[in-house]
Amino acid sequence: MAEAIDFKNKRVLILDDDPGMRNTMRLILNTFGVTRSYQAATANEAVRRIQQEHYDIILSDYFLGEGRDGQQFLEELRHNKLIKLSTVFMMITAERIYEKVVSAVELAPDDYLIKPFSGEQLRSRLERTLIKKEAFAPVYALIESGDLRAAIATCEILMEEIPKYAIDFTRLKCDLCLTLGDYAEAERVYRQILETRALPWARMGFGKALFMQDKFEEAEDIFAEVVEDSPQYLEAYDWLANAHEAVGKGEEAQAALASAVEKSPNTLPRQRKLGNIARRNGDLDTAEKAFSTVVEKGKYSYFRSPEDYTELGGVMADKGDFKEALSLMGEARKQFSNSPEASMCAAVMESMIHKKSGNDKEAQAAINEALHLQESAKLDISNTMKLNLATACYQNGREDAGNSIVSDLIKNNHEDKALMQQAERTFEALGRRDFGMNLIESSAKEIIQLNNQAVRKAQQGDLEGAIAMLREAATRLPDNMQIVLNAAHALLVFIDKNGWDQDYMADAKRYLEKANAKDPNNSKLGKLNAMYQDVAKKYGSAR
Amino acid sequence: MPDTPTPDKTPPIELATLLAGNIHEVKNLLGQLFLGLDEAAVTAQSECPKLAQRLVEMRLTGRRVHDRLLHILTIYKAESGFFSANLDAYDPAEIIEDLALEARSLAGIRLIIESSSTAHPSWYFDRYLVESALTNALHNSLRHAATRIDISAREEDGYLILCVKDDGKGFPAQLLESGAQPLHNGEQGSTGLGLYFSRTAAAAHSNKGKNGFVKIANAGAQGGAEFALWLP
Repeated sequence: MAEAIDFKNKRVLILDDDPGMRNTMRLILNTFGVTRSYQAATANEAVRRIQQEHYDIILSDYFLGEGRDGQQFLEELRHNKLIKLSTVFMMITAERIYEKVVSAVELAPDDYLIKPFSGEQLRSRLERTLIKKEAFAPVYALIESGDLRAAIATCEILMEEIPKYAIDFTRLKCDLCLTLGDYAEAERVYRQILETRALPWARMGFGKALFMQDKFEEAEDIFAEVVEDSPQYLEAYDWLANAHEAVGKGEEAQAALASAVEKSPNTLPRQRKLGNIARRNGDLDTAEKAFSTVVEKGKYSYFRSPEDYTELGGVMADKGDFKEALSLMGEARKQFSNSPEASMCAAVMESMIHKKSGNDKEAQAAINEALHLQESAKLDISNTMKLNLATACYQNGREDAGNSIVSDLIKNNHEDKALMQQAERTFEALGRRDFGMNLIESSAKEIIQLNNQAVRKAQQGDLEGAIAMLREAATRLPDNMQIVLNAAHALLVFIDKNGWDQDYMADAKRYLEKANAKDPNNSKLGKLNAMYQDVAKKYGSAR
Repeated sequence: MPDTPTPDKTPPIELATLLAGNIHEVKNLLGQLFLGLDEAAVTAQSECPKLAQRLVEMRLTGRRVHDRLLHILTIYKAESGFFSANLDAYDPAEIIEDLALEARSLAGIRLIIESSSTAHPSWYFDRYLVESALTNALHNSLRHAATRIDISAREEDGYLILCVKDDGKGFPAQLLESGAQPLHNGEQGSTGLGLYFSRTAAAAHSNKGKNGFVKIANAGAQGGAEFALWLP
């Protein structure tokens, strides 16, 4: 018998678009002692509530109306870290679509309940999930403090101690190994699991471990097998597309994404990706359809972006429909009326559309607006949009502005191969490939040299000299993860060796926080987080 | 509920698909009805125990309606090839406990319900299919048991065996002889459809060349019905 859980102090959020169902749920929860239950009719309302207050349990129906579903809601919560690992997320679903719920591998709910269910069943499921979360609490605490190495070690201990959850601890350990960049260990453990049973999530993980080690062809085979055997696992299509792309099979990548989109048209990141690949493959109709869906469905999403409009506008301009393209930019300005980012994205795209349609004067005016907005505030726009901005600059004779945008972008991301290729394509489209390659290479080289110099200094024992260089570079290039992480590394080594330094420690912490926010999956980050914990412990100041 | 299927624009619509869609909707409406009955039963408990007992009985009838619909749908799915087990790790003891809870709430004070598990706490199976098959067996036992129902989990020959046993009159000879085929002329509401569903659900589980299966027998001192689900 599961020991009884006291539900009196648990805060429960009920999300269902049907008021009758919400009320019934509240009454059912009352029967086993839940006194603090709250209701939301839409995902957006739920997100607002969750941002303001903590909930121990979230009960979400799969169907939410407005073209959205509970799985998207869960993905938004997890991606944006709006709920803690200890929060219970329970999906309520009809039998007809439960396969979709159980087929979410990466972002699965903690448990699901299939309608119709009894109050007793709901209580029993909630109790067990809470007990399980209790067993995982030590691991969650370590993950949330950033000490993934210790979290893995704890998983290893607990999988022996609690055989009932052995497989769950193993699975979490593998996930953490992937995050930490310990791909070989993840590969080994997944292989071990697969020897006992061909579980789809283990095959997916195995494929990812291979992919991360650049074994693209092997990964391609694995994902193709999962798609073949378990066609309901939509994430397998995403990874198959990644693998195809990595080996240069653009058409196949598009086909894989298209089959996933056909099965589940509501997942916007997948639609965006399909739009991008299709546009690159020259399949403008597919690109238009994908981005249109993103714009249309995105209207209901709390996490929509003005760039969805500019992407679609770009496709329409490619198709020669300038009127529609410009009208989309107007719509973007209207939909995001208080956002300078949106105005800037719209202005950039308007400039490109006018240029394409031969209207040079309007193109000039639009790029002037965009550059003015860029100078007046630090705007948070995507790398793709930065490249668009650079393109518009070059098209309108603003060489210096273009050069500085590209150079800055490359210096901040000199290890991002996909971005370098994208920049290369940008210059190709402008008919200035050689000029562009030069700019890209010299910008990247500058950072590599700076980094090498710092490393050399450190090797020669001049750790403080290395630190000075890296700190200066990290201030100038706050988005370059290699520089920022090397700076943090040098600072931590110095403190570990020479003793406590308040300033250095504060900077190291700041760099790591920045990296954790920007690039949580960076393979070096886990080790540095662990090192930070060790140093902090050593000098008795854990956070 | 936006759960109504939108019929395809191109006629003619396939009758089976149309029926399946409508059965789904009826099933969902039943779901709301059950939650309402649950809540009403809890409220009635203190105010009018007699009414509460009536509500419990109504719920069992409703459950049986629901089971039938589910079986038809699952078999439809299996026939059209959209059917596979979604394996994950579960504790058989928890499945047994939940089933016993359901049995106790449906049986009231009429029957003794015992549950036990000696199986390893982590087994791979499709929880929904397994629960549906066992619930069907349980609902049958609830109607036929004289004094008690025993629900258990154990291991044998590398199989997990989940078993529901009662002390009633046992399965009709006709059903024991019919093998896997559902009967068309069901007596006393027993068409064998539930059994056919359970066999389909068991067979969807496979591991290293071994498949799941169902064993039914009239066993025990009183010759009661014994339903066993064998999972590899």
